Amino acid sequence: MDDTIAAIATPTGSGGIAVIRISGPKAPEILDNIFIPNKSDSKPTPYFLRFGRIVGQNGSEALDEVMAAYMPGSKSFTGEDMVEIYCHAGQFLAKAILDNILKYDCRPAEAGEFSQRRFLNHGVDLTRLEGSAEVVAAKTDLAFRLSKEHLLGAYGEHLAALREKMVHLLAEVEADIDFPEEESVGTIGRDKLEAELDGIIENLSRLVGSYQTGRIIQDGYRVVILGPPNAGKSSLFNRLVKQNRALVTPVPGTTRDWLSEWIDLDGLPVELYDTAGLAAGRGRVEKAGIAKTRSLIGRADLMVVVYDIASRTMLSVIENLRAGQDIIFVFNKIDLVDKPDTVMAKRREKLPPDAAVCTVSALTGRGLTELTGLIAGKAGLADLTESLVVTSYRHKTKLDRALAHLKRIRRQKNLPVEMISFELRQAAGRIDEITGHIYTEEILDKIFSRFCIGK
Amino acid sequence: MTEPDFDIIVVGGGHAGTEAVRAASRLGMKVALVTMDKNKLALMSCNPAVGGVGKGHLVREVDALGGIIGVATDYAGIQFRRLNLSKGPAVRSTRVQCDRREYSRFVSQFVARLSGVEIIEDEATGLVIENNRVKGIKSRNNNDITAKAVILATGTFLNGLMHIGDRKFSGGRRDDPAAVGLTESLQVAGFETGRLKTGTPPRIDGRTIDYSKVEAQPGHEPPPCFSHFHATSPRLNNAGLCYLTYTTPETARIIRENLDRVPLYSGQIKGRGPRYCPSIEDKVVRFADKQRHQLFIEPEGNGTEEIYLNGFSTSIPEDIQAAAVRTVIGLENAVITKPGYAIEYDYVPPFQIKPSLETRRVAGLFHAGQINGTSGYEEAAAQGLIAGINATLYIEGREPFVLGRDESYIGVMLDDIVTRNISEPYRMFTSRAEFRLALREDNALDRLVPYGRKYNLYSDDELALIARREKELEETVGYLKSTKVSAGILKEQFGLETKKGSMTISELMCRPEVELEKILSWSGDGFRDRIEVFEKAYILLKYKGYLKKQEREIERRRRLEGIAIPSDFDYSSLTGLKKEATEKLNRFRPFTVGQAGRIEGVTPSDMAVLTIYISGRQKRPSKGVSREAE
Repeated sequence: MDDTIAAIATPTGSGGIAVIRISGPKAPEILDNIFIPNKSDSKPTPYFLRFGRIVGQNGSEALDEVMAAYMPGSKSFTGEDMVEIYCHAGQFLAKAILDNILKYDCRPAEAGEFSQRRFLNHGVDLTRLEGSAEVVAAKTDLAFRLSKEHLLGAYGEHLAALREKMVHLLAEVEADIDFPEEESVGTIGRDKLEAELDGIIENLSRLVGSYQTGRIIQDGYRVVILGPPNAGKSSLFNRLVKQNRALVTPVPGTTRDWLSEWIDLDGLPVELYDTAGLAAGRGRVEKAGIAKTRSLIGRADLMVVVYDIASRTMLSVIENLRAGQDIIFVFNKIDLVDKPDTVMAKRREKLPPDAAVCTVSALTGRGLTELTGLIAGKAGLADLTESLVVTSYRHKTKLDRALAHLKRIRRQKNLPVEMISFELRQAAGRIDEITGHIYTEEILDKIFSRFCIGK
Repeated sequence: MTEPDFDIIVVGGGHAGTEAVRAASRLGMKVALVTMDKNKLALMSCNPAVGGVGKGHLVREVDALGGIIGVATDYAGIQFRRLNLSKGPAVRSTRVQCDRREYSRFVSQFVARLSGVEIIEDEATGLVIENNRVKGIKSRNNNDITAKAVILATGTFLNGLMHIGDRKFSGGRRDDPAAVGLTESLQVAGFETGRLKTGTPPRIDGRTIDYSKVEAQPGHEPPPCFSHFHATSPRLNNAGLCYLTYTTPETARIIRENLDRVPLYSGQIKGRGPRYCPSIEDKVVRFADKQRHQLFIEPEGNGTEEIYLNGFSTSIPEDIQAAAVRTVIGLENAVITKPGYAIEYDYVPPFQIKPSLETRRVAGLFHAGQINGTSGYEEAAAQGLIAGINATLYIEGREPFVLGRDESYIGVMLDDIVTRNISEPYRMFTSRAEFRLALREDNALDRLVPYGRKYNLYSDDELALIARREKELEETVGYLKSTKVSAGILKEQFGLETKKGSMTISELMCRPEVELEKILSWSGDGFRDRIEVFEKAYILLKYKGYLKKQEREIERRRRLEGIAIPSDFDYSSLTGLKKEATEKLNRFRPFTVGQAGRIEGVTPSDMAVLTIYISGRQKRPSKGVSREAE
């Protein structure tokens, strides 16, 4: 194989670490680009783990601290140059790293593709081969069943309609190429082409956009509780997870690392994080905890900023929100204030007018229902009724790529018709991989049923 | 054991048969061409034209491998056109109107001059097969004729049955008897056979056409020719005119009122006809809302007044044909010289052959042309050529010559027919070629010359010509890459303003808005005499990006194409495959994993399972010994 593939090799769900695997000729080069070892002079020794950071494309932002190993070809699992990165678990983090990797010269691996490469590159003995083949078959079978269920719903219908539109457009374009002497076949005009393309592009974009929601269904909604020290974050966390998991003391800065727990908010899977208080930490350990909180902020879907209603401390750190990131301001300890409403009115002045705000008492549980309602609202659970949702990262990537091909046609005004066909078929090829192959025969069928071909 | 009479027997002297004879003769084989009528070699039984979109590509490829069809067409051509000129280079195709008598005469003389070829006027009535190996044929007039290999290129002759209205008569085509016995012999040998249908329009006396009412279509100047191997610029006859005309609502009315006498609708015809070439009765029924249908008036040659009414293929009764034809614009007084007819014939569904065209069942037996369910002179010629080469390689005990889908339309066609259900006559379209951008008419020779050299398909003259072409291309590309165009000219002639001022001609060519014609008109006559080479260089430069993308995909695919599936492989043993995939794979028995992926109903997950099993199975024995030694 001469292209490089990458995927998260560990199953979705809870677990301590996730493994990201890269296989192919570009694997070592990609590792060099994204990984900065802590010992800056450390050279990649095959099969030795190195500790370091994963950084973004411009080398700036650190995504996670990881262990990475380089396994040169021939002896590696796939039989080609391979890299494995062991990062903190949580699909979002691993996916962020994978996304980063995919910015380089590689593509997402298909289901079972690592194993396929292994078998293509290594000869293995029959028992092992059959064992592995069954695993792969079971996987794809499961994937098939799962995707079939998924594909039977509105999502499936939408994709089928999309595919149909692609076949339709391809038939127009191909008929124009193959039957130039036919009166009934006209050259598809640029206007018509663009109109049809735009329809498809819009559909695809909507699907790609829905992945945000799909991802939440699949991987959970990441809610990070943060705030100044001693605002009662851990109490709130405990309230929400309904168990005393986090250690709570009146000493500010008790939570030095973060904790996380899954909770179910009326069907919305929430991965809830409790974090160290954000203030200039005094001790080293505390500082490290705060740094981790900041990195969590970057990956949160929703931040629940908790303040002590009696305190005037406000945070200035939460300024640069990512697109799609949301924030709820929670004023805690209302049980300790005489006139919470009056106090609240003052507090509110310092917040943006459209900010989502609520008051709670983590101690008594007052206001909790309102808060969970706000969280669910922010997750956009209501959108799910439409159920037009991409939940698979693989699907999302394919749709993204299909979109890129179609946009290329749109951009180049004088693209010759066979190049238009080339891009269309590339796009169709990506959608194919989700919906099933578009055969040339199908396009021809369409041509012969729509046009009277007869020379 | 006595030495067989011949190395190779070719049954049928049509477009497939004659190419097979030519290739085998070139490779030094002793060949018998068994044909019913030696005066009717390479007859154009249907339309008097060669090429068209996709088909023109095939002709260029056959020519690039030393075939006859390109040269014969250039020689017999009376009107030369390039189709899709407004589109990109990959889909431009040559189409040539021919003088059908000249065409046949040229091929006959060509075949007569071939060494080691004997033409036997006879009819093959059966095969001689021993131990699943072909030994020769049974013939009507002679005894058994023996050979090491047999190529069946029988066209529409196998149990051919013609239909005009409710009249049915046996025959291989107009005025020729059908071949009876061969199908049965194939069935006895275990082959599955099927029935296909095709048709032809009436021929009209050109003197009865009112040409003032129809639109003339002249050829293109300069005339594009097919063959790569003209030593000097060939003298092409481009004076022939075709005409465009239309049916009227009256045409449709007459046909519709007589549908009960149309064999296609009365149930008399059982074979399936091609959808891309429907009969006129099919057109008026299926596209009833169309007010008119386009027809082409095509001359059959220079020395004849007969014309071919393209688009009016039919099997309606003769009297209705006469009446319907007279409703066509310009044909109000037209006289039919030969009525149109439909013909049904036997074919051997081609999942029973290998991509080399040898049958899977009988060693040394090759099928080429319509017997494989294909249609068209070009498709037939390509198969004839490949069958001729592979029959020779078979006799010499060498590996067969199989072209890939990524290097030729021939490869696309042969791969297509062995991996799919052929239920209507198969015709080439460019949309069948997924690597279309790389498979152009202009680079047919570049793509195939390594094989032509490898298999010794060229004469010394041809080799010299090829070498000259290659040198010219190299020089031209070098010139384009090194010659600068000044900023002034860029602005003046091409309306371009660039930061760095001047640019080379090749850089200029890469600009999307710069057309070839613009460069040619600017550069004057410098390249007019080498226009073909210049154009090729232009295409190479202009489409570099896309070609590169396609090349990457080709590379990815090649790996799977290289994984052979053992012929005894039992798909039922793979628990991971879905039922449909198992059934299809057991029927089509693909030769490679790549082919398996193109069979309808085989999904990507089936492919993953298959790939893993097959590649594991393949590598095991070869590594077994060294493993144990480790």
